[in-house]
Amino acid sequence: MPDPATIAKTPAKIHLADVGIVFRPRDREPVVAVSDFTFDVPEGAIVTIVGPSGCGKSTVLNIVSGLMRPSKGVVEVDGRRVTGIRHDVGYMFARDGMMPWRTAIENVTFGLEIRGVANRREIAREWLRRVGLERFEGHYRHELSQGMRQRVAVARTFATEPDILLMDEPFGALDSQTRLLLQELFLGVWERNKRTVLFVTHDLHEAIFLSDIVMVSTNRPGRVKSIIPIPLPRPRLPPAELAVAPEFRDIYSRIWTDLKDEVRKFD
Amino acid sequence: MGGRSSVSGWTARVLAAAIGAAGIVLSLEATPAAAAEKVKMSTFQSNFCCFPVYVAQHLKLFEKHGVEVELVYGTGIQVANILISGSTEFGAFAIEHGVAVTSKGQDVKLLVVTLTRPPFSVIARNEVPTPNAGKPYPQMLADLKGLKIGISTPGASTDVTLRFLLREAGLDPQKDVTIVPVGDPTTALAGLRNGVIDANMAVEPTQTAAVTGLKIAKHVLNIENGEGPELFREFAYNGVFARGSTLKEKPQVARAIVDAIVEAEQHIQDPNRTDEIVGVAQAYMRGIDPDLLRAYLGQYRKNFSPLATPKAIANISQMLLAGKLIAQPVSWSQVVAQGFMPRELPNAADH
Amino acid sequence: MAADTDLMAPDAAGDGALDRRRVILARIAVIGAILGLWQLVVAVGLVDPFWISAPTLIVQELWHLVESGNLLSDVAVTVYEALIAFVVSSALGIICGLLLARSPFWDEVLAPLVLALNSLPRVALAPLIILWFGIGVLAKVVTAFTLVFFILLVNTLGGAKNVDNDILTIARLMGASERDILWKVTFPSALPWIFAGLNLGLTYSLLGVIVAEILASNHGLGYLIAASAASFNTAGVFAGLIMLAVVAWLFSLMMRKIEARLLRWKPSLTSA
Repeated sequence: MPDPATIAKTPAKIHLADVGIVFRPRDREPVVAVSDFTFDVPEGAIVTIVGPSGCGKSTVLNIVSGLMRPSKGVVEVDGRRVTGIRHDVGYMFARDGMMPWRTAIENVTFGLEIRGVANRREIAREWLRRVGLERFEGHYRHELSQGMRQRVAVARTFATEPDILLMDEPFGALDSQTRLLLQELFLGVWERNKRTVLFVTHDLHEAIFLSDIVMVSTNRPGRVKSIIPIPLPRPRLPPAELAVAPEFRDIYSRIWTDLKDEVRKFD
Repeated sequence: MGGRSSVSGWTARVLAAAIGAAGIVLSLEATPAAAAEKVKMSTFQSNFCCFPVYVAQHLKLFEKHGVEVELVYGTGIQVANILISGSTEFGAFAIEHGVAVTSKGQDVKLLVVTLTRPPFSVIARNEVPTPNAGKPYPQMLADLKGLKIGISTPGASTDVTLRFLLREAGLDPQKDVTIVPVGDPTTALAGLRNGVIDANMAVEPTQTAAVTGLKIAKHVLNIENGEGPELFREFAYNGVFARGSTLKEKPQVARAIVDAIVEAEQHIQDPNRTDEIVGVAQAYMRGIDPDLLRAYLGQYRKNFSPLATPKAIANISQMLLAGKLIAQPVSWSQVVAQGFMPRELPNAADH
Repeated sequence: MAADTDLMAPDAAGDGALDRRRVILARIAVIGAILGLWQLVVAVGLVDPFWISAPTLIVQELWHLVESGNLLSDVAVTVYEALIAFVVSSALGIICGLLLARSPFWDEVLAPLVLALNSLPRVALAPLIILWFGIGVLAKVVTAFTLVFFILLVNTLGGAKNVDNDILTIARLMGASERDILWKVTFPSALPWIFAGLNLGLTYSLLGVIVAEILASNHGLGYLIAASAASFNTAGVFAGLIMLAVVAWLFSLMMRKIEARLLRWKPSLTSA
């Protein structure tokens, strides 16, 4: 998924045009979270939104998934408008969302159970193996560490073979070492089918390591400030090595230059 | 003007003060030298077994004898418990309960009997088939098999007596009948009318109201009339009890209670006072026709008599022993307070 | 990729066994002391056994009741009634709780009514219930029902309303139908709450049944206690109470076992 020219020609998996989102809390002023947001996510690309806190990044994910409706503008997936909660979406966030009453493998089979998939236990087992938890399939949530729980979440998310993945700072609650491991794990799993991913994060290293495109959002009301392609070759080098590569440092300063103005606005 | 009014004003005030003082002195004079002793007595409600108590209360006989009585109502075994627990000084309840607690070492003593013959009748709704009616005791009781039979509350004399009768008839109280608690005579009557029970161990005025009045039931065994086992014919059913300690501390109060009850019973037995007595019955036993009350009194007034004979106490013991409610018999001298009950019998021979 | 460390509680089996023995011994000592003091107080004549009976008398009475077969039949009746009441009331309470959780409208509409009914001391209704339903098993079950149903309703409702939002979001995005959500997410999530209700409900089932039996019955432990009291048989009252305590204890043991199985996924207080 390389050059800008190809990006322009490939049809958009997710299409947002002039999207605006206004929150109207009961006793306070209406809050414009996002305004005139126009953006395309190409098929099979990992696109990351970075921006200051409160700029509406998570809200964008919510309208793509159909959990929320935009106040104005157009949201389309595969060329068709998003009209309700989508069922072809994989969602991950910082909290693991594991069902504590189900074992690890049962958490992964949940989505398959709903779809009535016959050999769901084998599928789930295979996914747990891919995330390195084959010895823990019978464990309950309280018997797993934070990192292991997120790995179960990765397995669960991928097991139903969703069309789109929406990730809201999924590794944000982990310690930095575990975070690096999970980033590598995620990318390795993603490589198999290369699904479309819309990712939200604060962490620029993470953004560059994972993405094909990084989109910088302005402060509230969130707007697309800049779109920065990441031409690094795939498969990517491990994060520790990547961080010291010269191309990396260029991309990093480009992104940071755009981003820091937005962050400063709140001082 | 000012001078004259001030003089007459002053006079008026002195006059008023004098009248006031005189009034206070006079009212003090009017108060009797000793204030009436106030006591409490636990008793049943709307139940003929305590009728002399109601009469003494209503006709102010207690006050006449120098005691003010506050009646505390209870049901079943509560009436005895209220006395034993010390909440009241006196209690008017079934003598068999007094005998039972005496046998367990409690110091309660019988002062005077309010009703000698058990005011019971086993009655059944008219629809209930009674093929054994008319046969000698205890055969007529076979008709009770399989019925729902009402008693007042578990453990009360109605319960104890019914079980006694059933066993005499060869029936198992647990298995051959269903014993249903239906409370006071008023609620028992309601139970009969609504079909909650098929038969009732009726306590007056239930049977008079059900059989003679509403005509919804018939007698199966009329104990009050003298039918049934020999031991009910010389009996002491209900009486006024006091704790031994009360009798030691306030014997004169106990004496006053006895005197009031005896006088009440004399009134009840006096045919010339029937109207007055019927009036008391109407006040305390709601919903019964006065003519029925008149007829009832005409037939049973002799049962309101103060004396408990040694044989009567022995009969009570016998019944309780048969029901395994006491371990050994209780004698007259154990349960009756010495020196209070008016005695007519010359020989206090045994026990 | 390095494996994460397992965060399981360290094995303390060695110390645990010793502690258990001491606990049991201490328990026996405490109960023995109470019984001993009781017997002593009565034996030296400090208190009349008419009022508080004595352990020896109670044992005699228990033996007498066992011999006559009455004890077994009375216990059986009470247990039978309590279990029926418990199962029926709990099932209905849980179902109604789940249904109300699904309909915020009806929940809002019925909330003050449920609150009002729940505040009524239902034990005071017992005489009325006996009037309506007679003195058979039904009256006992109904009395217990008025107590247990609301407990399960309120607890289930609380549990069902407190499902983790993240889990709900994920389930919905995976395409779970409302039925899936109810049975695969809401119900298991509410299970700890429901179990708290069940524990309470079992106690109250027994209570409701006993109250109804004391008021109007001729079978059961409540009847045994009332009839003994009525004949001034204090030993009999205590015998009945002791059997009642044994039944209640066995019930709670049973619940504990079921809970251990169904709620084994719950983290204990010591782990994360």
